[in-house]
Amino acid sequence: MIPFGQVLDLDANEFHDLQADPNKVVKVQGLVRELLEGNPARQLGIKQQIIEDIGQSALPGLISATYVLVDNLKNERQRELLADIIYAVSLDNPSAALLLLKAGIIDNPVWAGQQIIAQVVQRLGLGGLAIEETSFLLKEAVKHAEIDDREVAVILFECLLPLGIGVKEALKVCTDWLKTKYKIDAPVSLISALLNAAPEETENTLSLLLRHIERDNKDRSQTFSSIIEFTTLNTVQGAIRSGSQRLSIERTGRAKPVEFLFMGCIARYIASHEADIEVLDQFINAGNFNSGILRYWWQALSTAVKLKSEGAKRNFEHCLSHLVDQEACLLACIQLLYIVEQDASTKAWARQLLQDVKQSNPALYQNAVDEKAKHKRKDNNHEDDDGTGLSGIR
Amino acid sequence: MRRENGFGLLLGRGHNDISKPQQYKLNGKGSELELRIFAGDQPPVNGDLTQIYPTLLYQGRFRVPLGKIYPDGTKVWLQMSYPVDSEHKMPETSIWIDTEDNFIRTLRYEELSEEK
Repeated sequence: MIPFGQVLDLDANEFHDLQADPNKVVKVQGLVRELLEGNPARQLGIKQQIIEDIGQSALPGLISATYVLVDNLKNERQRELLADIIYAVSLDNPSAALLLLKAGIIDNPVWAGQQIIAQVVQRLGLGGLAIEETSFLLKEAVKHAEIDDREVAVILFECLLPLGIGVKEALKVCTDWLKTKYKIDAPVSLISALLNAAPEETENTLSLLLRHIERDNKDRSQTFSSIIEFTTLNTVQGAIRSGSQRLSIERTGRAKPVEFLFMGCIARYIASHEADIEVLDQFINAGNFNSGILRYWWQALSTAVKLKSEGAKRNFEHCLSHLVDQEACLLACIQLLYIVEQDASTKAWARQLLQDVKQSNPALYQNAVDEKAKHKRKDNNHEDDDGTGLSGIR
Repeated sequence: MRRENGFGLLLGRGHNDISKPQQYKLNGKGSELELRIFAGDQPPVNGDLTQIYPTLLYQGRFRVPLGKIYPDGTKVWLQMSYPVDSEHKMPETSIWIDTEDNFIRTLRYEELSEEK
């Protein structure tokens, strides 16, 4: 509804569909085409013309342009330019968000167009929507998930979850999707949105994901570890607990999904949050976790060293200078042997550290060399074809 | 009609009149065909459809069950025409798949808005 005070305000539009004024839609689409084909100076002029002269009533035409001019959107800069204009004409219009979601995402027949509108909706937020509107969107999200229109379902959930809406439904959708043989991208994107929206549920959410990936499935593991990003210490701790749960059901105590969780998501987190390394080190050593977790933790630290983490280097140095925990020291030495072999930028540092261990504790050094050789033999003989051993991961 | 890239002309007027079924290919394996239909200005004589893209308005989509799974690249024939001897003033679309005699069904234009 238009507020009473704005009834005579031509810019206070209430939108229902894209075809209310076809002439204006065609006019705006023509301007968008000129915009996309024009030089930067001309683009600025057209942008101003759409935002200032046409204003909010340009929105249906702009959305429709994402249907018909998507082939003209050749690069990221052009997509951002169009998204900026759509965002500008949608601001301060309470009807805009719903039209963007309905016509721009749910009904949009072009995937690339949906992505542009999703970007705008995420910038706008859905805070102004009424309960019946968010209920409608949640029903649409579930419906599109059921008919396997996964892109639309993920976009709608990504908009609703930050409002605390749809957590239960999104978890169910993830479970159903993970049971199928489709690509894992959509459920992982949804899990990523769930982790951001409900970090306190990290352990349950990630357990769901890890449970549904086979122990030796490298492709699925690699996909999720490249998409999911942890942003808080609590979520990493929840992830470690879920990894331990997953390992506990494996006879060998190893599993690709857990390995990739540590080598990808957790390694990236500790490389960019060095102050948390010590806290996580204590968390893992003090916690009652599956024994495999300690091995994966040292692999994560090793990966973080390769990502230029000084904090991870200090953790190696601290462990090997105090020699308190024999198992941790052995795992640290094995990782250093791999670094010497494989990472040119840090191998001098690793070699020096190993040299110190060799002098101070030759038995430990020899043990690490023997363990590494054992893993390498296994790998060469394909005895351990899940590749989750220390040698298999590189 | 939206293609994987760009649009295809299903129904024209005057020099663009199309009376024969047009041949396309499935762009992926599937048991359903999704048709997304647009209406716009008459294309220029040289047939360059890109010139009329800014005039296109979305009419709706059909999801047509094909009865079984067909592989990527399977031939599809589409014909949009005005029905003869009918009260309907709107065009309808006929679909064949795999072989020219494997008729799937004819869709009325009104069905577009139902699928929208």
